[in-house]
Amino acid sequence: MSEPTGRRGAVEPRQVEPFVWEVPVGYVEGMRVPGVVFASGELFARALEDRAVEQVANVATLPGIVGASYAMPDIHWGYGFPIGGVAATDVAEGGVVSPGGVGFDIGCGVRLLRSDLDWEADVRARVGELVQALARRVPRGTGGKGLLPLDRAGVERVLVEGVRHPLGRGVGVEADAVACEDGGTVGGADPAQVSDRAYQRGAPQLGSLGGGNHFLEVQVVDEVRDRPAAAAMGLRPGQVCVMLHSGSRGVGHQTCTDHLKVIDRLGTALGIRVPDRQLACLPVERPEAQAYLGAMRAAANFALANRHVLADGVRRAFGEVLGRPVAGLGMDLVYDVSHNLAKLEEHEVDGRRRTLCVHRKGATRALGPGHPELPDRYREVGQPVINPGSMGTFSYVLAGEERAERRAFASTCHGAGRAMSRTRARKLMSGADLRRQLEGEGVVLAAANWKLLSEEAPYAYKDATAVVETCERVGLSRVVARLRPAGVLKG
Amino acid sequence: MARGSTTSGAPSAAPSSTASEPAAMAGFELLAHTADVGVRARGATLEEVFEQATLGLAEVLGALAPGRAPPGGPPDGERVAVEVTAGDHGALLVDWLNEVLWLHEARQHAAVVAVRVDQVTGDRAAGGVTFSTTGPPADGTFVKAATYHQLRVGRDGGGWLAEVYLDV
Repeated sequence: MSEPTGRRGAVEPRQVEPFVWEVPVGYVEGMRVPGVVFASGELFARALEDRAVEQVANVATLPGIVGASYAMPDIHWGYGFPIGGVAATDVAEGGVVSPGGVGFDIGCGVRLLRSDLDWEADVRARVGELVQALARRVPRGTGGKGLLPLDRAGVERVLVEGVRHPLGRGVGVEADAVACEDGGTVGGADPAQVSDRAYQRGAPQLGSLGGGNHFLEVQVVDEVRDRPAAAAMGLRPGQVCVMLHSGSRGVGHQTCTDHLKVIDRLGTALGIRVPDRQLACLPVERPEAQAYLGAMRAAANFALANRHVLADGVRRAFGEVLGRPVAGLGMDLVYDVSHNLAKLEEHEVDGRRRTLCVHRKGATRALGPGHPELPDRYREVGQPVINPGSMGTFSYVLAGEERAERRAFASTCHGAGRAMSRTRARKLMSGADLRRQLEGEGVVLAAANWKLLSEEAPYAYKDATAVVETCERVGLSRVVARLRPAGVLKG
Repeated sequence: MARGSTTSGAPSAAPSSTASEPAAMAGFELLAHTADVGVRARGATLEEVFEQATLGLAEVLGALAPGRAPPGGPPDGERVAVEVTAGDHGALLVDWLNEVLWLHEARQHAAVVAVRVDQVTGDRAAGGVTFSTTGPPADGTFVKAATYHQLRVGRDGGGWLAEVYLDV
């Protein structure tokens, strides 16, 4: 039987500066570094109640962890890692990789398409039709067959090439790859480490949204707060955008399951003790850890390609409804960024550049202005970060800040963050009532499963505005634009 | 997803219990979690506790909705043999549930209508799961995987208790 979490010591968390809370070493046994939670008093109190702070402390026990075990303001109780967690380990010092620090939906992320369409002039009168067309075109829900079914060789190419494979088949445009994190292809993918089952699960699923909290939204730019950054991203008030949230589907789920089993067993045999078994880990330099990282990168490529293919379906649906050629809609990709990934990155720790394995579990990479990895058009303004709100509430486009590098290994929040269980959310309101309420507020909805709609109700989430403003206050990212929902497709 | 949900229709399943009932009474309950969902299963034997945990998973998947699994007899379905090996009871349970999830997805999300666990040893669990071949696919919450988070399988009073969280 595994050890229980939460052997709390005598020390308590304390606020060390506005919006920054420290969880001191000793909060749980075996912490190697402190925990640092970026949160307002209210958000922090929720994280404490939720036991997520205990999970921040548990992550601080990972071998080789440096700096601190960080958590973003959208923190909530996860399974092993908290959601909103960021942890970096020093590879040369025996630092570990933990599949639980990435999660089962490897490479899950968000992409935002802009457009030349104006809400009032072009879309408002047609939004119902648009949502219906999107609902017809975009496979969603648990059993959805994808837009681009693959044979085994096709899956393998996607695992290695990411968005390059569908691009090569005429899906999307070159600029789409440039506007993705990692240029649309995560290097170092090893498809040989992806199991037959993962191949089988992935083959029919490329270009499908999936279920749970995955969604596609037609949105309107409601407010621009940073004009130069918004200009670089092609955003202006009143403009129609589309945000979509999806991941690596069965490929990622199976890959995590397969490798976690190996790493759990071997980690235990090697005497690596973790306070929660889902934190199972191995030193990055071990072959089994390398195998996981190769498979994880392959699954991340599947996730990138999945969102790429979905975006193509979105453009076609717009073209069909508006009766205009897709190329004339200006539906360019603003950015595509993952919030479930581990990456080997160079960062300065204690005055020395080191190669770190940075886990972001429900957290987003946020490179500040001037970073060499940014596409040219974002070099001056910083990396776009796409932050979905809950269904029916504002979403945000942020830009990475230079201070994020020192604060939390160039990371920021990933969304609103859940605030209550699905069970409780369903008890508070039926799917039908929520549908009526949201439609009364002018949001057009399509759901794969109406019964489950209220699991994702706005009241089940934290206030996305409070989350992004906290990140701004501590210098992780700044708000560029606020988007309001007009049409929602639930996975 | 109420505590003490009934599990009619599964031949090997007794009605589920709540925490206040004797440990040896077989049953399961779903545990609240901010983003995911847990299953607490009890049984007189390890085999029974594995069965109950599987029924908990099946309920989350929506496989045991009223009217789907007729009470009073085994429903029509395809019985698939399941066998997993792992280093301890906890890992066996996680592997078992993940195996059921794989079989479920490979059958276009066919509803789980019955489960029988024949034997659980220190490193092996074997039995079978029956998937509906006639009814509609399960329409509950999609489950990505069973996790090791706060995983427990152990003796509890006169019986066995397991707790496992599912990533949904």
